[in-house]
Amino acid sequence: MNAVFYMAWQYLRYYWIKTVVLVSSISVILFLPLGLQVIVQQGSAMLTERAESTPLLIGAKGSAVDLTLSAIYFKQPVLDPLPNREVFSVNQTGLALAIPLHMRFVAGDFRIVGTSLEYLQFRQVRLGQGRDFAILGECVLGATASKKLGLEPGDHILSSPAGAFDVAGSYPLKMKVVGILQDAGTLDDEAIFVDVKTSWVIAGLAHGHMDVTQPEAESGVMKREENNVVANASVLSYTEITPENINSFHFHGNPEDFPLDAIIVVPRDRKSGIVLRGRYEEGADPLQILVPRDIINELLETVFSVRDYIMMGSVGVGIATLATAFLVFMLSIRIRQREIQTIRKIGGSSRRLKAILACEILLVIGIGTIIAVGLTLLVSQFGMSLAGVIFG
Amino acid sequence: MKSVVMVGLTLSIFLFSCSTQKEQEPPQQGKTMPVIYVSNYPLKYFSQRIGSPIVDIKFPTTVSPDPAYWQPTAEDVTAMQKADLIILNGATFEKWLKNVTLPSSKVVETASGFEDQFIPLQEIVTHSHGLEGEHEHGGTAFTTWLDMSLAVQHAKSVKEALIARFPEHKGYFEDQFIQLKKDLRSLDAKLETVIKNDLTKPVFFSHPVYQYLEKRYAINGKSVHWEAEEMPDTKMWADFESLREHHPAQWMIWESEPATEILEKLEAIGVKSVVFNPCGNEPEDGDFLSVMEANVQRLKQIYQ
Repeated sequence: MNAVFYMAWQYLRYYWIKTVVLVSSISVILFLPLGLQVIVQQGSAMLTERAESTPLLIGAKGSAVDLTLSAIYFKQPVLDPLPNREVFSVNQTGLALAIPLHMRFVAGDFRIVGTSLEYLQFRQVRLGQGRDFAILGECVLGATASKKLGLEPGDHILSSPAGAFDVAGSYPLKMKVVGILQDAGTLDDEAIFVDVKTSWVIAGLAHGHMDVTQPEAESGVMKREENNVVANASVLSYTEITPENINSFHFHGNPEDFPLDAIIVVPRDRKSGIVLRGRYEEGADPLQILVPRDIINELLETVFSVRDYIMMGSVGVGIATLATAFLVFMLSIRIRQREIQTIRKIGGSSRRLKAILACEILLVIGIGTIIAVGLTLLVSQFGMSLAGVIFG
Repeated sequence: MKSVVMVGLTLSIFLFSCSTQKEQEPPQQGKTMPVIYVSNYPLKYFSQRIGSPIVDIKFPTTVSPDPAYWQPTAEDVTAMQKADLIILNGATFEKWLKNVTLPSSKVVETASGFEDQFIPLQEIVTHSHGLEGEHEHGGTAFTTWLDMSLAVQHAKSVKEALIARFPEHKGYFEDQFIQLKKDLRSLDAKLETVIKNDLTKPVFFSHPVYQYLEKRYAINGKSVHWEAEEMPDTKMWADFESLREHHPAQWMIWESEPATEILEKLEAIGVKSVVFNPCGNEPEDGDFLSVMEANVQRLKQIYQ
């Protein structure tokens, strides 16, 4: 048996180019469906897990997928904002806890999530270092964001400007890092959490500036009337909130009208959730309430359909590859007639010859299979990050 | 047989005394007690009357001379975030609230039930700059508890918040609230009786903090903006004189005892002074009721 294996191995080694091509073809054709299956399974598990842990979402009417992806996976919001008063009205029903989300801004590559303290409790994300945000302008970093930015409690981070052409819009805000979250293995690791009021400061809805009623601000004052002071644009807003200037920060307008991108709704029980859904579905407001699990399941059905098409294609390619491999082996037997004759002349039986040829085929298929399994294992190990790249 | 009965009797008495002792003991102060944060002294008093000794009441603003202008540190806010309940006055009393993060599920604004009775502040300066429209940094008068009917509503909100958070003590909270309500109603009646002796009598208020007292008891008052320890400047005296021409009051109501020279100067022009402590901060002596009782007694000087 060792002699058969030795002869087969030596043949494969001698014609190594042919062997490499055959092994590569077989490993790729086996890996494609296996790896795809693993990636889709892990990606869908990640998507479903986060969606299933989010009972209900309220947002502006429009694409349910866009609302779900932005509220749960922190994608750039594309729907119209909804007013902050919805948080109060949901909480006042006593049926559920409403958690606001404002996600229009980023700092570097990381999304700034304006929310309430209840968000971190709801997601069960614990602090690794420092404390929760407590004062306007403070932020808490997800574990990955902290590592990639190299920031620790006590450091500062600057929000990115909304856009180069946003002349009347937001000023970058220098935020103080007060806490780092533990690694949760979710997208929360890649976010920067602030109080929703801080995100409104970045949006320019709240700001702080010198007291224009005081003589020190005279250079920026255009006109003083009995109960009104008109200042020019030289009265700039502060770009960092400090103990010295925090009292000058004020909101323009009624905070109940301020924008949110979505509200996570955590009903007290199943019945409360149904009652709440009924109220929004029957209401005339331009708002929608949805179950993220249903939306993600619909999305995954599309992903599974695509996967099925790829699998079908892979099966076709696999059959063609195996047929080609079979042809290669048949042709190689024909080409190796002289070699076969020599073996026979030195006493090799037909049985041994067949054993050598079978061993060659088994070795090629075996090595190809081992490589395919190895690649699949690698994908299963790093599938989450790959899925993260694929699903953004 | 007799000794067995004696042992049994002794054991029963011991067990009974143990159980009685346990019932009379208030819950121990410490980590296991629910922690309630309040933002002013009236709320502390109401919470204590309704919730003690079941809850541990924290009043962090005592370090500030006026709780309405307290500035919490990050440590203060972090401690409040960990509380079981945060009881606030509302009506823009907590100026610091816009700058801090508190868990909304724990926050109760006790004035939220009577927003329609809020009194807008008169002296608001609006401003505008850049491309933005005109806006103001004003608010409403916030010493809501000086109207005893509103004080009852504050206390009722405290009771409801405690029941919602600790429903197992509902009966106790209800009983305690009934007692408190009775005391506040009695105070309300006393204030009304004293002031209605002469509703037309004009008075001055040293500070615009008595709006709800003025409205509830129909006081004919006008406010100036004087500090008890700081002699008003010439312009302030001139403004005061012109105010007196239209409002010939012979009494000024102060938040605290004014400086002797102010007192003497006022008396020289025929204006006497009396203190009505709004009791926003914890008094050195007594409690909310005794301070208000003392206020009523002092008001009698004006309205006798």
